Amino acid sequence: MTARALLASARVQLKGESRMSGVTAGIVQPAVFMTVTMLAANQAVAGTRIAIGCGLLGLWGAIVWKFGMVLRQERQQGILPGIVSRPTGLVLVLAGKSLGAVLRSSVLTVLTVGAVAAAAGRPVHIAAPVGFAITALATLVSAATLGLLLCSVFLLTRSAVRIAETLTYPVFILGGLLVPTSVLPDWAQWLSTLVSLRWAAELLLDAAAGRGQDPGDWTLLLATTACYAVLAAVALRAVMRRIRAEGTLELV
Amino acid sequence: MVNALEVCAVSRGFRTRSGTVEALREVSFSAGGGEVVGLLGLNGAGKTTLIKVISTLLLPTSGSVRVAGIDVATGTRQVRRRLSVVFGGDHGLYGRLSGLDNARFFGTLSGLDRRRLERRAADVIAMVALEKVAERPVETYSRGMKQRLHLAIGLMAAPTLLMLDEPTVGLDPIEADRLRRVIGDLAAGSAGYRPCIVLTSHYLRDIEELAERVVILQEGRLTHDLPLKELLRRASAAAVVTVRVRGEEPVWPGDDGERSGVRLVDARPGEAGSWVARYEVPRWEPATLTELARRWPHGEIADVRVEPVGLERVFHDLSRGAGR
Repeated sequence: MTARALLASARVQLKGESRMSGVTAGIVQPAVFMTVTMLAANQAVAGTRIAIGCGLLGLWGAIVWKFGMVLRQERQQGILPGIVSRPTGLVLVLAGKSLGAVLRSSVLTVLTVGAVAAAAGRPVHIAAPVGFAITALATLVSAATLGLLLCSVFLLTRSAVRIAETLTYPVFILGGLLVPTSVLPDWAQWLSTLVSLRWAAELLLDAAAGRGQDPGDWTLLLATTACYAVLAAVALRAVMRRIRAEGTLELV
Repeated sequence: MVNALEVCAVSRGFRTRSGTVEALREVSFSAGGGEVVGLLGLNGAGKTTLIKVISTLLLPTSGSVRVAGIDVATGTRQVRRRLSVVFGGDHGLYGRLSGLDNARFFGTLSGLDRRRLERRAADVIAMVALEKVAERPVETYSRGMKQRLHLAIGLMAAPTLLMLDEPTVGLDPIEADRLRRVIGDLAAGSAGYRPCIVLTSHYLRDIEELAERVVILQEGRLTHDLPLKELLRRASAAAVVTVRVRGEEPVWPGDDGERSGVRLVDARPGEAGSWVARYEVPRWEPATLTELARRWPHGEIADVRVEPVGLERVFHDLSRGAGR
């Protein structure tokens, strides 16, 4: 039932969303990131490297935005009680719907960064496409799991979208997506080891360049993702119990 | 045999800035399979809070609720497999999706497997007569259609306990009648079984046509739990009597009046030195006329008009604590 409910929720999101909904997160934002970075970086920086960085920026931006938005929409449409009172529960539905929303903008992001790189004369080159695809999938799952952890905060507040906006840049910075992690202060470097996107970026770059991927990076990507999953499960269970105890479901 | 619903001494409070508001106070009642219970009360009486506690959306502060013998606090997931709650109104559906897609989605969340899902979705859509618009986006539906779709979705998992919270709210009389017919058929076993139905409504016609038993809440307390027949008996027996009397002012009710149940509502001077007085009486019978005559020792009753008070008035009195 778990997988079917997850897929059904993703499908409902994809069917129910406006066709224009992925445009900002999947086209405008990555195109702006790509253009600015291409203009700022010197010609020695390959288009592939820029595309991966901008793709990850777009992915994380889409996740925090979409996860917050999905929850807000469900509340506005009065659907939360109908979902919560069914055996599947809210968490799986939110995860599925958020994944559905992110999937659309992820596909658009990949197409956009590829197109902008090609148009700028610095096309994307992937030396190990299978390894790259597997790593990209793991990255999507990892980022979505972190998004699910954020959902526990979103469930407790009406300001989900505002919190989402606030959380975007810390992850960009700690994940090494805006500046190299080596230039961060020591305490921030330690914090950045907890951000799975940092390891995902390394692995994607290795796969794109055809280098052997570092097993240590894989271990850290999987370990951080597992931590997010455990924390998300504990936090969401606690939050759902609190919502039932305090009766704040419709107030979220 | 296990009751479909058992509510035992349930209390539920809400913390506010000015203290705790007790929305439910030690409410207890039970309902069996196939029974239709009307849950009545004025606004703020605690009906919706009770529905939310039963449907696992809220935890009780104290007491327990069991659905098919399973505690809602400890066996939440199993309870959710056995109940459906249908909230009234325009909300709670995905507007861009078709009615059939909405039914399929909520059916999946209720745990129906793929094979059963398709058949059941088609069945419940037919049960509420929405086949012709089943593939249309819900945002194009009228309010009545949306309400019928809510009911269809509630039936997807063939629940043991079906809770209907204000199902006819905002519907025009024709749509309300249509929905009542569907619920009535369901109560009679049109779905192949007879679920226990708990129905809240402000429209007493819903209760009169559908419920077999009435539970009345007042300020969070259960004040009455009586068969609908008893409520109807009270409604048909009670009356408002208007008398025109030639003579002096009426005697206002004292202890005697309270004992006989004949209560003076108002009295005003009429034409040509007469008085017009209105009384409420628990039932109209010959002795009532004698009682009224006794109250006008120096007058003469010239006209009498008797009107039944109706279900609304009986409900009003019961909900305000009178008639206990």
